[in-house]
Formats: sequence, C-alpha cells, structure tokens
Amino acid sequence: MPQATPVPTKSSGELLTSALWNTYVRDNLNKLLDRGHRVLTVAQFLALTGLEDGDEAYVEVDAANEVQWHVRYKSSSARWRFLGGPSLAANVATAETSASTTYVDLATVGPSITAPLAGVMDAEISAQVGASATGGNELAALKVGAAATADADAGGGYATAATQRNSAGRDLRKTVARNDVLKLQYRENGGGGQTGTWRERGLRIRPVYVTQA
Amino acid sequence: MSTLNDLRALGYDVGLAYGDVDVEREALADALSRATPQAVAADAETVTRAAIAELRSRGVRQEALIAKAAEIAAAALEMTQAARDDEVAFHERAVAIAEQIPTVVTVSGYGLAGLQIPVGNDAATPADPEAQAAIDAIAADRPHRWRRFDWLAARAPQARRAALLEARELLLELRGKGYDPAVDVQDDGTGLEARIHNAETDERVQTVTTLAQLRAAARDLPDLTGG
Repeated sequence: MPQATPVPTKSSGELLTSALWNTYVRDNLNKLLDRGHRVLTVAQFLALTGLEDGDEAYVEVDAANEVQWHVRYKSSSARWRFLGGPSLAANVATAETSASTTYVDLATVGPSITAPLAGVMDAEISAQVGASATGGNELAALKVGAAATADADAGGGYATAATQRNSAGRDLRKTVARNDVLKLQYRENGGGGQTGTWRERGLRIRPVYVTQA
Repeated sequence: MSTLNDLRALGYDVGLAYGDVDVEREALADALSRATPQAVAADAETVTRAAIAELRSRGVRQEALIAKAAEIAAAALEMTQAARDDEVAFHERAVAIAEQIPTVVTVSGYGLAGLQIPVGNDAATPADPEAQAAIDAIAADRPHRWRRFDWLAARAPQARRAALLEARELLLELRGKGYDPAVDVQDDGTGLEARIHNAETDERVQTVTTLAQLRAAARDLPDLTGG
C-alpha cells in the first residue's frame, strides 16, 4: 500500500480547514491515485517524481502480452524492488542451423527482448540442439546490448545427430540498461566442422530491481 | 527492406509492447481536458457540495456552514486546480520521455512468440540496423517457409500430420548435409514441394514432390559439408 498520512479523528462541529483538507484528504488521495493502483506505461513510470520510500507502482512492460510488473520504491538506493508479475518471454520454435564457430545470429534473429527498464534482471535461456555429426557442442549464449557475446553467458548441449533434441539451458543474472536488446546468439563448438541445429529457442527475463535511469 | 506491415501481410501478429508516443499524447489530452477552467470549477463545486453535506450531516449549524462556505469553496478550488496541474505536468513529462525512447513491438506467429523489436517513434522505421535485420529475417522467404511449414503441419489433418513431420526431419537432415530446401506446403497441408538447393552456391539440385522422393534424397544426396 502507498504511504498515506494517518487521518486524525475529528469531533462533531469541528470545521474542515484547507490545511486539514490538503494534508489529510488531498495528499492521501493523490498518493492513492498516483502511486498505488494505477497501471503506468513505461514512459509514465519514468516520469514519476516526488517519490517516497514504500511507494508502489504497476508498470505495463508489454501491453500486447499483458505483462505488468509490480514494484516498490526504496529511497535509500533509488531502486524499485520487484514484487511480482510474469516474465517477459520470447520464443523461436523453428529449427535453424549454423556451422559458425563464432557467435552469430541464426536465420531468425533471436529470440530477443528489449529491456523496458534499467536494472538487474534474471534471465533464463533454453534451446534444443542437434548436430550434423558426432562430437557436436552447440552453444546458445545471451547477448546484452552492445557487449560481446561470450561462452560465460552460454548454455550448451552435446549432440550426435541433426534430429536430436538435447537440452541447452542457463540461468543468468545480468545488469542491463534501459532499451538494451537481449538476444540469443549461437555457435558450434564441437571442433570437428559439425553443423549445429537449434530449435525451441527461448528467452525469459524478470527483474530483481529496476531504476528510472 | 521489409516493414512491419509486410509482416502483418504474411500473417504475423505485430503488437505494441511499450513506448508508443500516441498513447502518451492521448493521456495528456485527457489530462488537459480535465484541467480547463470549466472542468476545474465543476469538480471543485462537486467537492465543495460534498464537504458541506458531510459537515451538515455531522451536525454543524447552518450559520457556521454559511460563514465557512466561501472558505471551503476556495480550498476545494485550490486543491482541484493543483491536482489537475500536477497531472498535466506528469503527462507532459511522459510525452517527452516517450519521444526519446523507441517504440517496441512484439511479433508472434508461425512458431515465433513474443519477439521484441525496437522501432522508431513513427512505429514504422526500425530503431537501428540490427532491428531492421531482425524484421528482414522474419520476412525472408526461406525462414518464413520453415515457420509456415511448422504452423501448417500442426494444423494438418491427423493422417497427414505424421507425413509432414517426417518430411520436416528429412529436410533437416538435408540442411545438415549442406543443402537448403525451400519448402512449399499447401494451405490445407495436403501438398508439399521441396526445391533442394546447394546452400553455398544456391544451385538447384533437385525438386521433390512426394515423401518417398524426399526419403531417397535425404539418403542418397552427397554430404556437401565434408562430414
């Protein structure tokens, strides 16, 4: 609940002055309307000012897929802690191949999610992998913004046939800037010239906290 | 270059994730309509009447209410005006912010779900070359045909579905051997044509129209990858 000023008890016959009205009615109603129960767009969330410790907001981060995040403000760190809401999720089911030993996009770029807010995000990556020959090692890694894609952010699977569906997954916690594009990129690490196949490629992100940066 | 409308024409769902400037401008217009002198006066009058009625119900004498009515009305007007001004300022900031951030759309369909792509604030121009590449990739003929294959196979009559799924695995084998099969599937899932190309040279190698032909191609065509 938003931080409201406790309303004093008044006796019959006492008049309601403007000072009393402003403090106990106007300000409390403003807090209730502005910070507790409205669903804000990302732009409106970024436009919030005059914040107080404990203020809460519901932010619509994906209108098309009905994703809203519930957050609470912590004034000492100027961060909004994540209280609840579904993950942003993107998936590419189609199987696509690559023999590249350096990280590349597949024919369908992604899956990709654009970070609506800056902060620290928990990311889950997943894929089903196959390879054209024995000894394949198919990696799927998370690329964040302009940073180079690295094995340190990859999940991998070992496959021996193109039609296999071995799992490659990874959980990561990453600091992201607002509007950073998070996407999966892929490389074949088998060392034997195999062609990797990746299908059912998934990416989910959910915040630990966000900021208005 | 492909556009979002091209994706819609191919049957993809393209929706708004966040960042649309028009949404914020509409909210600002609503706030401005509530901040006109007439609207503020009307709201303040409502608040004043409610405050006086509440006081009367609590036993305040009529003479005292009359004496304080002007003060109550002034306080209500001041409060309402301040609230409306704050709201307009808030939405003005939101519009300015929305104009500086990209509009992000989400693309779904044919095996894609929730792919987010940042576009320009006119909601048509991609925000950067990578975003344009993502749109071009979704609209490209060959990947789209694969996705459409999966989508149609999932909706084909049961008797045909197993054959289509087997065909898909055979096509994947061919891709693993260095071929690029361009697949056409009839809308009701009953017909299939695969034009098999050398993935590197794009030379047409073979065209198959039956599952038996496709099995033979997957078995007999040489591995171009050297594997």
